[in-house]
Amino acid sequence: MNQNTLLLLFERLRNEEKQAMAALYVQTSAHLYGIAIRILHDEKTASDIIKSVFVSIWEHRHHPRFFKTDIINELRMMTHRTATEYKLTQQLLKPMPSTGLEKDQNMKAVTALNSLSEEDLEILSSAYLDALPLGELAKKYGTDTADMKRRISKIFSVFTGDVT
Amino acid sequence: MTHPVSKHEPLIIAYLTGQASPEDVVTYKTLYETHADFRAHVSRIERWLSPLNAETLDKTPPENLLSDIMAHIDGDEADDESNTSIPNVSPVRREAPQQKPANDNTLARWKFATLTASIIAVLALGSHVLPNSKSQTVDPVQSVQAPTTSTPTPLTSETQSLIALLSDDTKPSLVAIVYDPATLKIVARLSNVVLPDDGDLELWLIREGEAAPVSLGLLNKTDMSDTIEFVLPQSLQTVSDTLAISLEPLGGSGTEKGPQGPILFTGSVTEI
Repeated sequence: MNQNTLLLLFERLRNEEKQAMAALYVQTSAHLYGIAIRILHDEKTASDIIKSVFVSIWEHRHHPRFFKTDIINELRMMTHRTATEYKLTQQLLKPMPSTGLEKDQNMKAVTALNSLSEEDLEILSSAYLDALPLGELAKKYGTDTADMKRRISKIFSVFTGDVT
Repeated sequence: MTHPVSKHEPLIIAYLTGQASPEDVVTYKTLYETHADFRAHVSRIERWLSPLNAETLDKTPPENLLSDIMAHIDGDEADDESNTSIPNVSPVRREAPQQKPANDNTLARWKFATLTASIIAVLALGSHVLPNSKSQTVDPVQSVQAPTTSTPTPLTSETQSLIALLSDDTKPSLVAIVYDPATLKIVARLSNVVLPDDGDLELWLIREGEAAPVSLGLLNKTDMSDTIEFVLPQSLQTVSDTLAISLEPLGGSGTEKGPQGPILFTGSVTEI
């Protein structure tokens, strides 16, 4: 998913070219569907999430997020947020582009993630990507839920300390 | 500069990682709706975590999902855009094989001649499993759609062609190629395609009326991403052109006669 290609596709979307949606879908849908299915473990629901995301993309095609930032990252966040919200609320909410226009956040986030220990990164991935319940996470790492909660908060300190 | 830790950060973390209790969800929703600072902090934490998503494996969506999306978009705006034509371009939609026209013998001597009989209006889908060895037989294209035009159309600088080439559902490999006619540059995105260690994937142009397929180059990844970019030696055109990817010995086919190894993916060049 080349950023320039995605920028070009969004430029076409802003010119009301619906056909560009198909190109965007082929470029990104397998990746976004993979994210949704990893969280939800249900193909039907994951399909609903992806449909909602793409419809929202069309509706928000003029949103500045889609030409000022890392587009694929934006789409990942929309997908992840919508899937997580569904998991928590059983409601399919219309995904919105992110708020704020922070610059250089992605690179700083990657830097912060790279500074984590392998186990901390694994815990974070299990929690964020797989939405593994706190109890299961605690059991997996031989501790209790309160300790796991503290540990996750501590992991996040790498961001609050380094990423702004 | 260090960002002050929000007192709501544990709540946001719990929500974004799917750990929030029903009470947390209510609190989160209320704050998200009413506090811009809270929304900004959510966005910031999402951005911290989002690089993790890059590690998630691609998975091919259901066949009809794109058509559902396009129908939904169409339905929403049907009143004011009644003349807009939406291509039917589900990347995994496949139909019954089409018979090769009896009078089309131009490429009959090529091993993948049956593939070139499939010239479709919008999107070409080849159905092949990526074999683990060069000796594995590759089936011909299964999906076809009737052409809407018969005249080859060079792509203008204002258009892009997109070719989707994918496997069957049991092994959802996908190669999506976007072509920029202004620069002759293509971007090939590989999904669940493992590049062989002992061979190279070679991209071929099969053009109606031409005596032989033309090699467009080897698909060599230059980094850890699944995207390959390179400039084509010649321009593509719709209707008459089909792309194919073959598995060749390291360095490529080494012959001007066409692919020597099995054809893994095919797809027609189509403007969308």
